[in-house]
Amino acid sequence: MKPFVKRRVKKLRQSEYSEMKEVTVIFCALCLALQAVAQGPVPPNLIRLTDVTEKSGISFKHNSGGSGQAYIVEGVTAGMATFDYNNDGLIDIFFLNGRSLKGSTPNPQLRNALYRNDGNLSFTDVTVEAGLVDSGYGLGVVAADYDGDGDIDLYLNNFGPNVLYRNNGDRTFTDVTLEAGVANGNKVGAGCSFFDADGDGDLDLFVGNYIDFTYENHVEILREGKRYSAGPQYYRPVPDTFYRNEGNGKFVDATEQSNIGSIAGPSMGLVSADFDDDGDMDVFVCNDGEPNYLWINDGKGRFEESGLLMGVALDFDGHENANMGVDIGDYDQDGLVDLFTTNYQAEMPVMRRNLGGGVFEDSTAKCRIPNSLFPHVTWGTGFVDFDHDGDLDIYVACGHFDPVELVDDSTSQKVRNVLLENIGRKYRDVTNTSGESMAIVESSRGACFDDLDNDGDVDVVVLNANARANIVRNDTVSPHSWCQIELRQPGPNSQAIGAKVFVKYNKQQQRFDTTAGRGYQSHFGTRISVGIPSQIQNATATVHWPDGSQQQFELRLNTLNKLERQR
Amino acid sequence: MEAEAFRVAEVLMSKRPNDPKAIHVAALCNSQLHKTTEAQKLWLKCIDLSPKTETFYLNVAANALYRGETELALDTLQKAIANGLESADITHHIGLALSKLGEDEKAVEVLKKAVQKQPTLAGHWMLLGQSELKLNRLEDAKTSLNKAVGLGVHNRAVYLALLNTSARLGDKVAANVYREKIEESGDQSVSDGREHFRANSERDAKRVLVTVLGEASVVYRDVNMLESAEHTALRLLALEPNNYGTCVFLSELYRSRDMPAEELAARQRMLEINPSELVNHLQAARIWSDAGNPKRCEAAIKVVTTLAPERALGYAAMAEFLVSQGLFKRAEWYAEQALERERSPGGLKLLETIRKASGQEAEAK
Repeated sequence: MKPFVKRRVKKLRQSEYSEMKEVTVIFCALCLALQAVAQGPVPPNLIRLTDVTEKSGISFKHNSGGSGQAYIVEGVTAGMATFDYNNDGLIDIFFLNGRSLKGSTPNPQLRNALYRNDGNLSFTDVTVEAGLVDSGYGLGVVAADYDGDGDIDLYLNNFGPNVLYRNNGDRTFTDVTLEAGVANGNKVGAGCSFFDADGDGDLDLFVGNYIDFTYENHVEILREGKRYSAGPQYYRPVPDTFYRNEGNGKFVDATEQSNIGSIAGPSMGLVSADFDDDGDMDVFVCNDGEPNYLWINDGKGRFEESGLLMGVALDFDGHENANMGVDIGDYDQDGLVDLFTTNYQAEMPVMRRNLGGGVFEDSTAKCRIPNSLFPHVTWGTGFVDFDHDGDLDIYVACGHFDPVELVDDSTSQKVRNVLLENIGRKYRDVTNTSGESMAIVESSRGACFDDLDNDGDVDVVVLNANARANIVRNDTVSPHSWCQIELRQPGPNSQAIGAKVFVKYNKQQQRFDTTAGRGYQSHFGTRISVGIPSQIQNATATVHWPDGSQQQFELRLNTLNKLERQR
Repeated sequence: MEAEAFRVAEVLMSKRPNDPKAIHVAALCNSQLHKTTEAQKLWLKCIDLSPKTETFYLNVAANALYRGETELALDTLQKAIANGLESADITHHIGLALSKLGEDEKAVEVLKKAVQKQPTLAGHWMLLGQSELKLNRLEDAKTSLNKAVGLGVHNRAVYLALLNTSARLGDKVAANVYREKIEESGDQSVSDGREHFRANSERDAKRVLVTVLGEASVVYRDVNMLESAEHTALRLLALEPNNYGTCVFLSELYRSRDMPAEELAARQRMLEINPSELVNHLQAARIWSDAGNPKRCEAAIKVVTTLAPERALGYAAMAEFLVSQGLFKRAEWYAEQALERERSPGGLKLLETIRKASGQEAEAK
């Protein structure tokens, strides 16, 4: 989050005091070149997203714990997670929350919240009985089976010490932070990710760190009598942390050994995947106002930062955007994993198309990410095929952290979220025609995408800053088919985090990567959801398991496919 | 400072409510302070009042691009063309808008025509190279981007485009060279956040006020409201004592109003800012001469001869000055010195004049 005071300056034409530039008249047939773009017929948008928060039993209301000081952490809280904590086949919801910050009245009611999915989009708050009563200030979260016992554990990246909750398998969790050795000091957290970095089969842990903010070095910004948040450029960035899983419930801080500690950036959302397709897991880290990092793994858990060379550090014009959230997906169905990042106001979210060979291009304009997103601060995001037509649409959560409308009329603190429909490697803004939930005006942060009612399509959960969360049901009536895929394998990485799944039908294919930690400092999508065009009767999935071995499966359409690895 | 900028713009608008140049200043102020809706409205009014002024179209387009309204930007630029305004700036903005809309084929078409007509348009070459890169025309992109660099473009965007082009061409060595150039340009260290913020906000606010004052002073001068022009420019100079352009503006303003003492003060400030600028010393000499102070005039010209002993300029000026004082013997020596440095018809004519005036007819011939 950059503050409003650091904004790209418009290049306006002035007179004698501007940098004088010789204007030369040229007589080219511009009008011919400017003829309207011929566009073919575009099918109507089918996506319908309905807000069902009232009936869901979810009353969670986020609170940043602010006292009017506009501490930098207030603006960036928080991410969230959707995962099946009790292995009942229904995806549950975990919301991070803020805590009372210095100067505010202590409020013991502020806590994170785990909502158990009871089916039919009905939820029950089970936070206390599950033992998830951490008192930290929540910023990022990731869910994965780090100990290989078959249930999903939870790691919280806080402002303050972090927490690892081991899932006991009986609907309760135990705080094992100290014995696991992953508290990560007393830092300002960000995104985090579990993945097997060194190829030993278990899940290591990458922890994003933001900046060195403390109450003592808080930068106060007063403007017309109001306080605004200072951006990360007023603080020192902190290197991220890398923990190697020792396989015995303990982790070792391998930040230096892995080379992750060699540089520092103000990290926010991050995601791990095999970006160069060399068979190991790399990490993409959004940096807030600095070039993004792409940590390329040598296969043994040592990383080299290659963001600039691979074309993902800056936007097309060389700007260091304030990168917030990120998701991965094969939006152009070329079998390569692409990246979509969200940004600050007056910055376009950026689509980074993977060209193969370790090179990405900024394809934001090429795939027509609409300029309607340009004025807003954007956060949570996800590649989701909402209408099952076989390509990935994009959801973008929006909203400023300050009442920016008082000093800038191009955006507001609370705005609508945006939905982009993939119409053949290009996107169109379908926010206005996708149901009443898209009319909600809030300042959103984390967003998660999973099938909450097991009806085959992907629903949405949005965490709104200092407001009630939204549960959004996907009511799209689609002529197309779908299938869902859950991977299971023996050994410590039971969910096969890091696997690549190539779904093939006719001559087409879609690629999906299993990952733990994505979006805006959030976690979702361990269950893969695939849209299959209506005319397709048969589809297969080729799974590239994390160790590189491959297996092919026939997929059953319109149901959940649990694909078990055969030894 | 922001409030002062608004006040300056409002006062100007109240004095010149239907003057597009005055409205332009208010639009500029609003735009820079992120009141982009009001800025848009004001610039559209400027276009209504003065449909042949290119600046207003360009600013509507730039403002629209800032608001993410790329289609509006393009539409406005098309209107400019429909009004007979075709320029390099307009084609650059059209290329930019087309590129942002993903219409890179069309952007390339527009930009190629522009650089064919005017091959020194560095910004156009860069944008052309970027569009070619987007179209994966890598060799073309490399050529265009290198043209831009050759014409003086040395920014992150051009080096990033060259890095991406090299990486896609498999030239890792070149890619690494460009990577280093980009990394060199991004070194920002935070010493103290609060101090950093204070400096940033003061700088931003000052930038806006300076822009508005500068623009307003030009409008006041153009409509002959010279007191206002002077005071507005002086306020700017108080904020930025080293603003050379403002000193030039004031010195010319004073000269046009026959205010030699004030002009001299402005000229002397120019000399303090840029002591090696020969023309300023000569202008100061002129003012001293006009003010009846030949000794100061001569001293000012001597500075020129010492600052640029190899050039004829100072010697010739001194010769002319000495002629005006009737000091022909000394004038002859300076004229000869000038001719030794640069043999020109003007110099010979001056020497001839001097020798004739001092009775040396034969030598004059």
